[in-house]
Amino acid sequence: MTAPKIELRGLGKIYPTPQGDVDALVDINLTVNDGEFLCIVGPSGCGKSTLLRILAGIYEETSGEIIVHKADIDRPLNSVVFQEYAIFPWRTTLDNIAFGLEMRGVPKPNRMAIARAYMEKVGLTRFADNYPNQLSGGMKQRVALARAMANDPEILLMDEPFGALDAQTREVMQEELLRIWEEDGGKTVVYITHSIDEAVMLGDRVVIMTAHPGRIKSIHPIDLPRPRTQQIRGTAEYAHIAQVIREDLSEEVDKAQAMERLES
Amino acid sequence: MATTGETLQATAEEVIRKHETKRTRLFYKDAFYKLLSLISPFVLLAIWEIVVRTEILNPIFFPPPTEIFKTMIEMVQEPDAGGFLLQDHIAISLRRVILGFLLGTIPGLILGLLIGWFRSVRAFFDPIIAATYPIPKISLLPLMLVIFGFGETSKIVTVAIAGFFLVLISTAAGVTQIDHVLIQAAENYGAKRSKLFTKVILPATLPSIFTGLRLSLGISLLIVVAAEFINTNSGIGFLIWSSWQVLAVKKMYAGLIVIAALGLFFTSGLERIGRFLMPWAGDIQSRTK
Ligand SMILES: Nc1ncnc2c1ncn2[C@@H]1O[C@H](COP(=O)(O)OP(=O)(O)OP(=O)(O)O)[C@@H](O)[C@H]1O
Ligand SMILES: [Mg+2]
Repeated sequence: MTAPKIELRGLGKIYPTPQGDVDALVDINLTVNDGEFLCIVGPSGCGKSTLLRILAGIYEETSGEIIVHKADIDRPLNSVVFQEYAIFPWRTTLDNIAFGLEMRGVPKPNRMAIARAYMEKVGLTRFADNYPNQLSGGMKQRVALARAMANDPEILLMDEPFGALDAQTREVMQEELLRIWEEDGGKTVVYITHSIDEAVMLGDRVVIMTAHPGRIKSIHPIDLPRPRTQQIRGTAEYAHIAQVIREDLSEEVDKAQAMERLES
Repeated sequence: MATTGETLQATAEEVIRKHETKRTRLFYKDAFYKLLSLISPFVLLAIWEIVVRTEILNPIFFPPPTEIFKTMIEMVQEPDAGGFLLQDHIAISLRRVILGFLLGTIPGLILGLLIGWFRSVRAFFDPIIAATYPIPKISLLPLMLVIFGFGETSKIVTVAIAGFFLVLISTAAGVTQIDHVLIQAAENYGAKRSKLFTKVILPATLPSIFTGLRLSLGISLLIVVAAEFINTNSGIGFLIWSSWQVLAVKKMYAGLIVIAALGLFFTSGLERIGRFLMPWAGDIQSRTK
């Protein structure tokens, strides 16, 4: 189970812009293990979404290398839950969720059955035939989540998938995500979040990134037992590790804000 | 853990219920506005009739609506000097509009998609379009007459050129404005080439395509009428122009009414097709107060 799934070596990303090059990522070294739930936290603008897009193969790295080990030729390698949702305005909830399956050529009755099942898991059955412009931000986010999970990829790449949800729904969805993850068995997950609580609650490890340009500052293993529920937030171990990470990260957030003040 | 889905489901149902009471209220509001729009033309006609009958306006220039309709009924039954009934003129103009429209918009649509999607195609065609687009298309009519002679072709081609540019430009703009995250998502979920085109690029561009089609139909009508002023013995434009020459004001108004009706028919027809093809965009209009 500890075979590497994704290996990043000296990875860097530069965006060329008319105002000059933007260093988004610098010297990222990281191994994500097969079946691991890895969380990444970092201040806004530190390059998390950039990193996720490189992992997804959407962007190309500027330097260094990335190795992804594919295990199953019949399954998609990765599916992304985008921070911007990126669900299709011209498709209903159900058709959005079935999109990946449709592109892969899964026959209609099968893909609709699968899509329905995931639609129910994210609580959107009443909205099956609604278009995205009739859904709230949190609902759209759940459509995006269901679309990724229904696609059954080897690696799930999630960019703040619960960012638009209220606290209650978010907690429900966290438990649901863990449950589906454990049910589906062995998916590798890279999960980006702003919330330390969320990272500790979900992750096997938490990666902290530095403020812009993004580097890896530290990696914290989370040795809390699974399966986890919200009850875990009441334990002393949880409180301890969350505190350690909070202090580690707050340094970076301060730095990021100081930099922004300098720039403005 | 079945409760998680249920909790969310319950909240969702609550939202829908609130939505539905609001919907019935919206329904009556809608009906009221529809009624207003329905009676407004009749109110206008009534005022017109009264103002002319009381001779506040000169009936020579502004014949009362009832007289105009009487004239129209005559025109439907009795052929004019050229042997055409009113419906013949309409059919002839319609044919020119529709053939020109199709001949222009179909290539415009295809080239617009290519220009929007392929940078190389865009780089090649941009200067050509920038140079030719500002030419008022009606000014090409004499050239078309030289090339194609006095027959139908010259008019149809002029209409086609105008429609071609409008559809091309709005289609190309629509493609370049597609949210690139949607393309990234589509590709991440396995959409390639033809699927990416039919399932993402085309639906994403459809609203812009329809804007182009609407503009293009309006212009087509305008150009056909203008072309018919100049060198024909048939069509609505001819009807209006020849009536002016003999000061048959009522016939002129008949022509104007037909043109207005055609414009209205085209616009609302396209709108209907658009709403059918793009049900996801349907809520936008009803959201205004
Ligand atoms: N397409 C782009 N072109 C130029 N610069 C970019 C581009 N995308 C991102 N950047 C820059 O790269 C840096 C990292 O951006 P990124 O979106 O990866 O941050 P993030 O960590 O996801 O932030 P957030 O938490 O706010 O989502 C930022 O400084 C941003 O301005
Ligand atoms: Mg981001």
